[in-house]
Amino acid sequence: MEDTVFAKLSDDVVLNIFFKLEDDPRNWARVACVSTKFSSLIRNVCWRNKCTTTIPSVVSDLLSSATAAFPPGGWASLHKLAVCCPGLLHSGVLLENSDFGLERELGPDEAFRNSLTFNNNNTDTNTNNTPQTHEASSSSNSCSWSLYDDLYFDTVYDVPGSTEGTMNPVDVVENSNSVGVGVGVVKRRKICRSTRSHLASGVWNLSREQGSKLLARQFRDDCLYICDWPGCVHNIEGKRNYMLFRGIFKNFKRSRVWRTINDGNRSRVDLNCAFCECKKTWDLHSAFCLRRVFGFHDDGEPVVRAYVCENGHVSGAWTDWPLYT
Amino acid sequence: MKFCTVKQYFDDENNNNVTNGIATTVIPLPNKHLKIKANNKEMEQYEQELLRNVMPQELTKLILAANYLNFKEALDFFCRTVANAIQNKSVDYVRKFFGLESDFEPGEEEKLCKEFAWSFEGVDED
Repeated sequence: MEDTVFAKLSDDVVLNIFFKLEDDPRNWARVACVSTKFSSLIRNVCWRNKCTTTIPSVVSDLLSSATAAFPPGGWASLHKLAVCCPGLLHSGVLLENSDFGLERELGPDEAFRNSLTFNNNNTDTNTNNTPQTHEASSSSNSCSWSLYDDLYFDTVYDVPGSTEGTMNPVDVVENSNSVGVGVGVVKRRKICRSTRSHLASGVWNLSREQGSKLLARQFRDDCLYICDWPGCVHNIEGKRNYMLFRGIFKNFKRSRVWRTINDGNRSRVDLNCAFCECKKTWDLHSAFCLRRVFGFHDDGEPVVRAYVCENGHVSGAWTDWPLYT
Repeated sequence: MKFCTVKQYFDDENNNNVTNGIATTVIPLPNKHLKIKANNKEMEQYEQELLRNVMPQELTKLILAANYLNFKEALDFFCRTVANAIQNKSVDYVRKFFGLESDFEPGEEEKLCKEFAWSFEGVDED
């Protein structure tokens, strides 16, 4: 029996094999799904080793303030944060946000909120029919119309009828948003990839310097590590470029940002963290934690937005005008 | 010396760790290495030919033999071959390759698939 022969391989031999796969982060993630033993080796040895060698200062900072021997969310989360872009969904780009921050300044409009709840109840019955819309449904719950819907319809109309191979039908159903199935196979794959988290382009590094540029002045003592600029760049047709970034707070529960959010009893958004199991996150922009100088675009969209989870993982996006305007 | 264990192997008649077939593959390797050390390409070809028809379970045995014999270059080579065979392959393929079954709890595997959904793109067909 093969598995009895294989079972004789010691951990260090197995790790010898695994470390030959380290160049592509996807390999380890897939291997971690094979069995409990592989999962344990990948998490506790491979990812820990990789993080310690590629982002040593971040690791030492996180461990110095952690109660356990691993950073908040585990080594898997930290490694994913180092190499994965959160995608348009988790960085909040797909949430309806174009109000010049009025809701933030004046408070929520209860009548508008009530009408949204009514619409969401209708769409919810549809989403129940589609399996596994774990990420797509979280964005549709937060507003009756969202940029996500616009993207979806634009892609379906624009694609001329693809002949470039077929998509796995399971993937199509997974990513549909309950409003019918189109035929834009190739285009949809592109949009879905940038919606969910994926391997980031560019260098996989986190630095404190970037983080200090993001936070408002009163939070200058908080230590926030952000990925190298400009992160992963996404372009939405007809709209702007989005430079997506991700980061992590050192000792988040002791930070001033946390005190501000917690003491201010800020409510969380139904946007789950891209890097750990937290189902809700706080909007740093509406909590006045980001520098006010960034401001808004003419259509009300904030220039920068960021969301933080309870473990201190940050996902966000800078925006920029496309060159041709 | 590379072969401190080999002497022990020959001394030890009743050795289950290394069957004869495997020994005949592994032991000539260092001589071959020395002979064609100057020419890396030829060595590569030799190695590829050697392993072209080797099944995964044979490969596992080769790894065990090289490990037992403390033969680092061969061990490294065999491990690299396994790594090349499983890189960019799906979870099911890797399971079949090692002859493993999933031993996760029922909901756990689904959670993992969600957590690592980002890694399932661009996987080779099985």
